[in-house]
Amino acid sequence: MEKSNMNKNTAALASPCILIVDDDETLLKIYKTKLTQVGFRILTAENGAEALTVAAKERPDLILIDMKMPVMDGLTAVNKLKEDPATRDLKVVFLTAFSDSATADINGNIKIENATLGAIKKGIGLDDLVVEVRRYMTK
Amino acid sequence: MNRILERQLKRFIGEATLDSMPLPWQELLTAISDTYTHSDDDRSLILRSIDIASKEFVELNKKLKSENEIIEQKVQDRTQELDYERTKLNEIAEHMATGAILLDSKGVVTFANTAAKKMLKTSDEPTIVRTLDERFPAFAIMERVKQSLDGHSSLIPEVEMDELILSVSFGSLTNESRVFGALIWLNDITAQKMLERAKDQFLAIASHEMRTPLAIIRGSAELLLGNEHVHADPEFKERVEVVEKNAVRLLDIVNDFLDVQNIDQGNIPLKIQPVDVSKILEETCNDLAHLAQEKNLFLKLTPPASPISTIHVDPYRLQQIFINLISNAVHNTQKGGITASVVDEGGFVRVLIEDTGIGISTKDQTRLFKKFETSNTFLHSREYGSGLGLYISNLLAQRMGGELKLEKSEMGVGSTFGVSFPLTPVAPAASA
Repeated sequence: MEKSNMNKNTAALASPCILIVDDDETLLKIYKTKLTQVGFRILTAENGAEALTVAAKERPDLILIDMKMPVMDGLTAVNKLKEDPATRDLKVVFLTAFSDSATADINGNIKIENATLGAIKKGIGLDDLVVEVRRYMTK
Repeated sequence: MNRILERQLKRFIGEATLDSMPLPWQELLTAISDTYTHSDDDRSLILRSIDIASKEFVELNKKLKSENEIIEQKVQDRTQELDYERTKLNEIAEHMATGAILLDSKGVVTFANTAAKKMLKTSDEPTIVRTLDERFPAFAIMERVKQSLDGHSSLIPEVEMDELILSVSFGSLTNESRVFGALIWLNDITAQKMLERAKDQFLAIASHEMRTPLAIIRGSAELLLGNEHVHADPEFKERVEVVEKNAVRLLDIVNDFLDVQNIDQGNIPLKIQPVDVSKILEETCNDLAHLAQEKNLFLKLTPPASPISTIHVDPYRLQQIFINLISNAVHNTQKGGITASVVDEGGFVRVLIEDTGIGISTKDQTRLFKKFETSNTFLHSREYGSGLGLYISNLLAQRMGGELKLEKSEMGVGSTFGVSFPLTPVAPAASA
């Protein structure tokens, strides 16, 4: 929580805002560095529960969320976001550790219709990450 | 005159001569004498016949006796042989790792080997099948035995029996198409199943636990490559590039292993749609142009001679196949390059990927599309990737109604792979 508030205060408020949710701090830092470099404002959370609080408060333009996390996993968090009218319209993209084909199929396996825009595979090149993030933002 | 008749005449009428008798008597006596003589001849003939017959009989008897002895010996030998065969079969059955239970035509257990008794933890033969039935009511064991006796075999692929995992098959014993009993085979597949489970577990770990660290290595390397200090130092830059490139390689390998698992389990939903093959092939060539450039190879796309019909496949999977074929070609080629082309063969659209590479030996050609075999041969030759690319591509092509094959290959000259798809749409997978 503290971390995300700090982000809000230090980053340019006009920049599009992305919430990245992952339990791995190092990966969070790498994605944050890259996406900040190209002009996004970045918020972070380390599990699904934390993500819900930040999302409700900050209403980011895009949420990148890991599937497997302690406390609350990504799927549960997305379900809760979509149940809440206040956060229902937020754009969500999964960050997955699945294979290429599983990542491509992930939306077909999610219970809630149109819950997420899609999935980005962990291990994607950082330049490709930027391309994907921009693509999802305009969707 | 016959001597016997002469003696009899002398006894009854004394020393009378035939000439002194009246003529009719003379004729009668002559006739009688002839009869006597004939009778004598007949008797001696009969005696001689008897003599010969008796000699023959003795010979025959001798022969019979010796033949009898041979038969007796043969019976004895055969019995011994059968005894040996029975003992042999019994020994084999008893020492087999597979459990075997035999039942007669009424379903009564007539034999159960040591392995069967050990697996089912019972020493009581007659009740062994009933024990199995009571233990696993869901598998309808008795019903399956009945079916076997009707000539229908069946299989239970996996039964968990305490610490054991068994596969149980039911068959009929037949003689000239007449069923005279049933046979139950119990196979201990514990080790195999444990290995499979260990493999699945490993792949799951690979998926979730290796991905994140690899993503971190790749990401860190990429961030470093964007750093001006790194850019200013060519050696430093090169080292970081090596780290980045190899992280990508490992990510690809992990991905291949996971894909293989998914495809093997049939978990690949296909999103079949009308696809412009030329466009996807061109995009793939553009995406992979840098791979060829790095090795100073050409990668060219021959424009099709005639318009290419639309095919119905999953575009993402199609691209996956093209990527595999082209990157394989690049990695197996040191000089020259790769030519991609697409032809409409009327009814079929065929894409050809031709390289001027090392070629594939006849021996390797036979195992090209096999799982892991491929990886062995290819890993040695190209030092790249998991080597599962062809296995995956082949399966994907098949699932979409297509066919992947090695069109031709010559050592030191190059190889051509072709993948073709029918124009008729293939029904998408049920899960899609």
